[in-house]
Parts: sequence; structure tokens; C-alpha cells
Amino acid sequence: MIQLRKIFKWVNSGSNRTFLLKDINLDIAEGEFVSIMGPSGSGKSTLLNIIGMLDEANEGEYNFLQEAVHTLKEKNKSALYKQYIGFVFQAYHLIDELTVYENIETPLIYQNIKSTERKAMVADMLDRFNIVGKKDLFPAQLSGGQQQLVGISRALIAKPKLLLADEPTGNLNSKQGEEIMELFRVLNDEGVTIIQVTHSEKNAGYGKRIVHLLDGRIQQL
Amino acid sequence: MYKNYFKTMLRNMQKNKLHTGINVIGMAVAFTCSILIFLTVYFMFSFDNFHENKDRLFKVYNYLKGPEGDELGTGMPYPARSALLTENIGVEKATLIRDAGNGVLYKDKELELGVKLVDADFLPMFSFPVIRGNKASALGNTGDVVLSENAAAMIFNTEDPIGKSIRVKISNSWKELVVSAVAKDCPPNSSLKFDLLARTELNGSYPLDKNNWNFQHSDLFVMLAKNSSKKLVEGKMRHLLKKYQPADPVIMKKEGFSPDENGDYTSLRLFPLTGLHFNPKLSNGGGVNKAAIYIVLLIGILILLIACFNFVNLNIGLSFNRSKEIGIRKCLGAGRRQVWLQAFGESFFVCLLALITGLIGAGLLVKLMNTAFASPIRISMLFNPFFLLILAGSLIAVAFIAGGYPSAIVSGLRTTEILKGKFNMKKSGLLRNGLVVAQFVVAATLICATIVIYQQFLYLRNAPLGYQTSSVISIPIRDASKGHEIVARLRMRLADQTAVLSVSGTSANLGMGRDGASSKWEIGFGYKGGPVHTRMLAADYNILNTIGIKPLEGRDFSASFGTDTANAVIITESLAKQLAVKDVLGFSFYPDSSKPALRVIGVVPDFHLYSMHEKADALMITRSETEPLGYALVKIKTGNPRATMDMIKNNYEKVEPGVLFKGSFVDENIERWYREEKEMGRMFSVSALIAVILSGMGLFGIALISTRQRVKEIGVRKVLGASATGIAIMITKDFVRPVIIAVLIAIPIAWWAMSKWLQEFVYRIQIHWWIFFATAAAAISIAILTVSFQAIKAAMANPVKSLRTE
Repeated sequence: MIQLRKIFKWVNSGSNRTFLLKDINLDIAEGEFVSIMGPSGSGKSTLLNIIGMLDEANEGEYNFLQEAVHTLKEKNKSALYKQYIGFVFQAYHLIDELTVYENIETPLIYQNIKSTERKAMVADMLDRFNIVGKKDLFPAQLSGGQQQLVGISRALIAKPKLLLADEPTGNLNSKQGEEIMELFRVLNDEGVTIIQVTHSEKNAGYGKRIVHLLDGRIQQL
Repeated sequence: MYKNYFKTMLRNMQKNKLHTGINVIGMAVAFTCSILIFLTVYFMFSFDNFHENKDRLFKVYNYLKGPEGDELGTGMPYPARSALLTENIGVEKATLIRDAGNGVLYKDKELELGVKLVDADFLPMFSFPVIRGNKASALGNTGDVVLSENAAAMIFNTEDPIGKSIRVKISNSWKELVVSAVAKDCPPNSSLKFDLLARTELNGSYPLDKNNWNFQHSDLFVMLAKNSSKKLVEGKMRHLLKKYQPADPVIMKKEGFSPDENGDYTSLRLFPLTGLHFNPKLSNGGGVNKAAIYIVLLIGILILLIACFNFVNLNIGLSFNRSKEIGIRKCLGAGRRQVWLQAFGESFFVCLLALITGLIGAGLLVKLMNTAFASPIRISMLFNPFFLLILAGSLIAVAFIAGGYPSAIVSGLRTTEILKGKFNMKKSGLLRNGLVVAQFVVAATLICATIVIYQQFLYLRNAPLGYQTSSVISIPIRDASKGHEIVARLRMRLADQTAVLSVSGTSANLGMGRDGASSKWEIGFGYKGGPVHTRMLAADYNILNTIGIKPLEGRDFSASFGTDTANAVIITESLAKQLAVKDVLGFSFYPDSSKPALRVIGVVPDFHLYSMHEKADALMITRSETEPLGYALVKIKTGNPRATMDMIKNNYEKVEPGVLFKGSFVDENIERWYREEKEMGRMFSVSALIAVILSGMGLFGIALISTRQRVKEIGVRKVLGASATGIAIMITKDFVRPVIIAVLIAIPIAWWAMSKWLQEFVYRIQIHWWIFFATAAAAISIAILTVSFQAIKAAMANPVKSLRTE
């Protein structure tokens, strides 16, 4: 599903070039559950952003479902990730001004799905995560765990093939974190490919494969 | 999608109530002002545009190149019209127009309605449609009279006026005329206005002067033939003038005139009717200055721009606060276009809201403005396609300027960077400060201009004119030809009133009275080989005493001197200088060789018979009984001016019965001379106030956003030991700096513009440096006041709290 070949990413500060990613080669097949680990500043989030097409590599090739992402135009890229990728963030990143229902609905709006269809899809999602009672509340009225649940529902609403999670449990207490991880495992069992970035060994253990990053390179353990 | 956007917007507006308020109210105020201003300007430019033949209608004027610049005369003699029509020079129709007095009598009802004497071509030339009566030739007979709708209603109420006979006062005698037609009332944007129209031939002087080219009195309008042009006709009029009224180059040269580009000393020219409203010289004082209209228009646009700048600045500030939302939306699949559309749509909506509020505001204020500036604007004028198009256009333009830029920035942001929170207001600092500078340049310039205009107005109003203006009442006399008689009777009636010191009369009013009339009378004659130019004033006994002028030599006109008849004159110093004789008192001279010599009985210092817009010229005062006196003057001394005014009113009504008393104090009349400056000052002060308030509102909003974004920095600084005052000063300084720059830019602009404006005045103030200091102080203290509240609040905040919220 994902093939990364000789990916380099750097930033120029003055005359110095600081490498964030160096020579990343990575293959991820459909149905995998990969955890990316590494200390702060090792390039985990950068890698995840490149995979999620929110960021571009300076060098290297990236193929996603047989599409050469590095050659695609912004518009096509946007169409690609709109369809196949869902994001879950550490800070949830819900839109404060929208209710739970509206937050979950938003990705569908951008995919031009009809109103009646949207209603059914959101209702399914609310049902599945047991948050029907919360649908008219605003994010600020929810606990962290509940907010992340909404974040995940939103990521899943468009039925993506790939779920990208950047420290999804970072702002949660351990019990809430565990529930989220359990949920990920269930999702993976249902066939969703998951890539998560995490600090915690325990959470990384939920993944079927662990990739270690250090100073922008993949550590071969 | 739009429902989602709309909800987000409403909830955001609710969250940022203050900023939404600043935006909507600011823009609404600006829209109100500019709608009113654009309506006024539109009205001004629509003058005389309703005539179907407007492209062929011209006013004929006389052009002379005098020693003090161009001299334009609009007075035309009777034979000029027939000459233009019969000489076949491309003139299809022509009409003389002349005011012939006030007075209509129907049965026993007398009304004061103005009568205009015109020729039969008048109605076919101009588009004043006849609604009743004889449409084909409404003024076909000399016995016909045409009424305006309004006049017809006043005279006849509900009766049918057609065919009825009324008596009309024309050159002081009553003529019996038959109403032949009723025309629609003249629209407010017409330079020509009338109540009654009658034929030129009715004028008393017509039989005697119908072939006299030297008796010049009427306006003359022509309609050119379809195949003719202004240039063609003007060329042909040269020969016409040479044939009928040749100018003597020797005399002209001696009097200081010079030939024009064709080598003619005098020429007849054409001025388009549609431009008449912008030419005060040719429209008999009724016109307005075109430059003034453009200034008003510019102010309207500037106010709209200030509000726009607020909108841009606040929107950019808020967009960065909202960047998280935008980042998420992009992550969820929103395209650049969709993000832009959302941001633009929001500003469009705010603008629309402001425009609607502005329209309502304009509708409410239009009455107030009409009374303040004497303009007949109606809000219904807005509902024509031209204005709707302009409104829609400016709405989109404003939304585009105000919303487009921040939207473009926001939609172009990189998702990852937004989500990391890498953006803050600092990146737009230059633009933001640039806009603040621009706003305050406008505000400071307007403040400067207001101060200068008011100073000039006060200077003009309070300048000593050389005579007493307080405690003197001037009363317009309706029948000026009987002026001397009326003044004498009034003097008799008031003789035993202790409050009345003296009574006299003049031909010209002092200042501008409630009748709004003004007149000038000048003569020139040769004396000892040199030309003498002097203004003339007819007056009655005790004139010097009544207006408090002390003669340098000689004495006032007095009833006790039997010799003060037609040929006694009082002259001013500068006329005495022109005559250059040693013993001017008792000196006799002949300005008109066909009349007896004039004898000087008194010399007075120069004084301003006319406003301070002109120099105090040489003046000769005559007491000739044959000269009409248009005004009675009464000098009073009283502790109760109102009671005295009533007493004089009662007496005057007995002296000239049936006349509406329009007496007023001379100092009020003087103030009316400077009405234009006063109105301009008022307009500038209003716009300066609006500019200052809008700019201040914007600064306040920006300060609010900026301190909110700097909460963390301020917290850290406080933890590191910065004092509250230090922080307050640091924040305030940031906002005061652009204001100081603005003031530095505004000062030379204001100085240049106001110097230019002042140059139009013969008597003017110096622009003092303190004006600029005052402006700077005002602008800077406004900035400090608006910002310091936020600054102090931020500085006083508990750093632990602010750091934790991050």
C-alpha cells in the first residue's frame, strides 16, 4: 500500500541544513498496524505528515496505492487523501464552533456527499461509538477521552483505508488511552490499516510492527 | 456545505462579539456616510440633466479680459435675442429670462410669488412639461401667464386656473394676465426655477429699450440648431457683436482691458446649461464649486476606506486566531478554494449586514442632513439601476478588499504549520501598521483641516468691517423704488421710541439678510485722463450715524441741510486718493457728463460693504432720491432686543402694509456671508470625528487581538521580573509608533492643502504651528487612550494563570 524510497526531508536555517528525515525506506502493506517510536525530534511526526500528504519530502519517491504521490499536483493529492486517509491528533483538533454531530459530518461535506446520506452515515458512527446522547454538545463540554472518540469517529466517517494517528493517547489518562488502543485494535481487525506515532512502549505494543526512528533514520533492530 | 459554514460563522461572530460589533458598526457608519455623500454628489451632478435638448442648450455670456482677470457678464440687452435668431447663425430658439418682481393678485388674495419674464421659446426649449391648458403655444400671447403646479395650487386652491384672469406685478405695475397653462413644478435639480412665467414684452422698459444694446439686464439662453455647434455659433457671434455693439479698442485699453485670443476686446460666448450649476460666476450666485464636491466625494471614499482597513486588520488578526479551524478543515479535505470561499463569504456577510444597517441609518439621517446642508436628497433616489449597481459593486469590492486578503492568506497557509501553531500576528505586522498609518493620516489631516477652516471662518466673521454690526437691524423693503419715502415714514414712526437711536436706508444690504438677496453696483468714469472705478451705494439721511462710521472729514447726510439732494456724495478714502485732489471736501466732479456735478460732503475710512472675500474697494455713497432703497436700517439701544424687534416689526407693517417682515440683525446677516465656510467647517468636523472614531475602534480591536496573542510572552516577561508599567508601556509603544508616523505624514499634506485653500481668500489667517501640535497631541492621545486599557489589563494579569492556559 505504501512504499517510501530514499525519502529525505530537511530545513535550511541560515547556511546550515538540518535533516529531519534521512534516507527513509519503508513498505507498509494493507491491513498492517504499524507503530512508529522514537525520542522527541527524531522525525516521527514529520514522517507521519509525509505519509498523510500534509507535507512533502524534499527528495525521494512515495507511492500510495500505486500512485506516485511525489509527482501529483496539490489538487489530486488532496482528492487522494480525502478518499483514503483519516487523521487522529494528539490534541483532538475538533472545531470548537461545531457540535459533535457537525464535527463528524464535516469531512463528508468536503466529499460532496448528499445531505440525507450524510445523516445516515453520521448516525451510524454516533451509534457505533455510543455518543448519540452527546451529538449536540460542543467539544468544550466533553472530557478528553470523549473528544478523542469524536476525533476518531470523524477520521473514520469517510471509511478510509488508512488511519494515521499522531500520539492519539498523549493527552489522555491511562484508562482512556487503553480504551482508545483497544478500539484501534478492533478497527485493524476490521481491515483498516493504522499507522500511529507513540512514545509509550505499551501502546506501541498494540501494533503488529514497530518502526524505530532516531535522528531521522530508521533504526534496524 | 454552506449551512456548515454559516453555522460556524454565526457561532464565531457570537464568540468574538466585540470584533463583530466593531466591524459591523464601523462599516455601517461608513456606509451611512458614504451613501449620504454619494447621493448628494449624484444630485449635484444630475443638475439640469433632465432637459431633453440639454446638449443644445446654452447660456450666452459676455467675456472681457479685465485688469483683474476675466470678467464674465450675463446681462444681455433686448435686441440680442432677435439678432441671434434672425442673423441665421445656427441658433434655433432663444429666450431672455429676467426676474420681474413678486406679487400676484387674484380676487382679493395677494400672494408673494416670483414672476419671470421669458419669451415664447422658453417652454419648447426646456423640459418643463405643461400638464394643463395650452400645450402648443402656452406663451403665444403677451397677455398669457403660465403657472407652476405649486403656484396654481396656491392661487386657485382647487379651482381650474385655465382661462382665469389674474393680476401680476411686473416692474412695479399691475398687469392683467390670463392663465394659459400650468406646468409641472421645476425639479429640485433644476438651475432654472419659476412660479409664474410671462412675456418679456410686458416689462416696463421694453417699448423704450427694445432696440437698445446698451441696456443689459436679462439672462439669455439659446438652443442651437441640430447641425450647429458651440464653436460654430461662437465664431458667428463675433461678427454679430461687431455689427451691433462694437467695442472701442482705445477706450478698452485705457480702462485696462486686453484683447482675447481672437483679438477681440469683448465677445459673446456660450456656456452649456448642464455645467451651469458648477459655475457660480455664470449662474448668478446659485452654483456650487466643483472642487468642493470632489472633496466631499473624496471624504466619503476615505471614510469607507478607513472602515475597510479596520475590517482587514481585524479579520487578519482573527483569522490567525482561527487558523486552527482552517488547518483542521484542510486536513479533513477542504480545498484551497473552499477555504477561501468560506472566509470570503464571511466577510461578504458582515459587509452585507453593515450595508443594510448603513442603508437604514442613511434613511433615518437623510432628513437631518437635508436641514443641516439645505439639500433636497431623498432616499428613494437610491432605487435606480445606477445606484443599485454601484451599491452592489461597492459591496463586493469592500468584501473583496476586506475579506479577500485575509482569506487568501489563510487559505494559502500550510496545514502542518498551522496545526503546529507556528503562525501569529507578527508576520502581518507591516501590513497592519501600514493600514493603521493610512487611517491616522486621514484622521489627522481632517483634524488639521477642521481647525484651519474654523479659524478662517471665525477670522472672517469677527474681522472688523469698518462699521458697527451689532444692534443694527436691517429690513428688506419690498417696494424699493419707494424706499426713500418708506424710510422717512419709518423714521417718523420710530422717532419717539427711546430704544431707537437712528433710522436710515441703503440700496444694498449689509451682510446677507433673510431674503438671501445680494446686489452690486459699480461705475467707472474717466477723470483727469485716468480711469476711476468705484462701487456705489445709495443711502438715506443719517447713514454714517446709523452704522457707526465716523467721517474723517465733512459730515453725514442730514435733513437739516437742504442741499443734500441728488448731487451730494460721501466718498471713501481710497476714492479720494483716486481723485487725487487736495481739498476733497466740497470738491465737485462729473462722472456722467449728462448729469449735474457731484459734490463731496464727507470722507470716510474704507469699509467692507461686501464680505471679507473681497478687498474693501473705493465707494461712493449717494442720496439721490431717484435711486431705489432696498433696505431700511435701524440702530437700536435696548436691553430687550426681542421686544424691540417686535416693536419695529409692528411699526414697519404699518409703513409698508401687507409685506412679510424679514428684518434681521446685521451681525446675523454678516454671519450668513460666511455660510459656505461654516458649512464646510461643519462637514469637516463631522467627517474628522467619524474618521477618528473609526480609526480608534480599529486600533482598539487590533490591540485586543494582539495582546491576546502575546499573553504568553507577557507572562514570561513578568516571571522574568518585568514591571506592570514596563509591560503596559511596551504594548502601548507598539501602537503609538504608527500613529506618530501617520501624524508626520499628515502634517505636510494638511499644510499644503490648507495653504492652497487659504490662497482663495483675500483676507486669511496664518497657519500656526500649534495647529499641528494640537493635531499630533489629539491623534496620539486617542491612540494611547484606546490601547492603554488593553495594555494595562494585560500587564496586570497574573503570569501563572496566563502561562498555564498555553
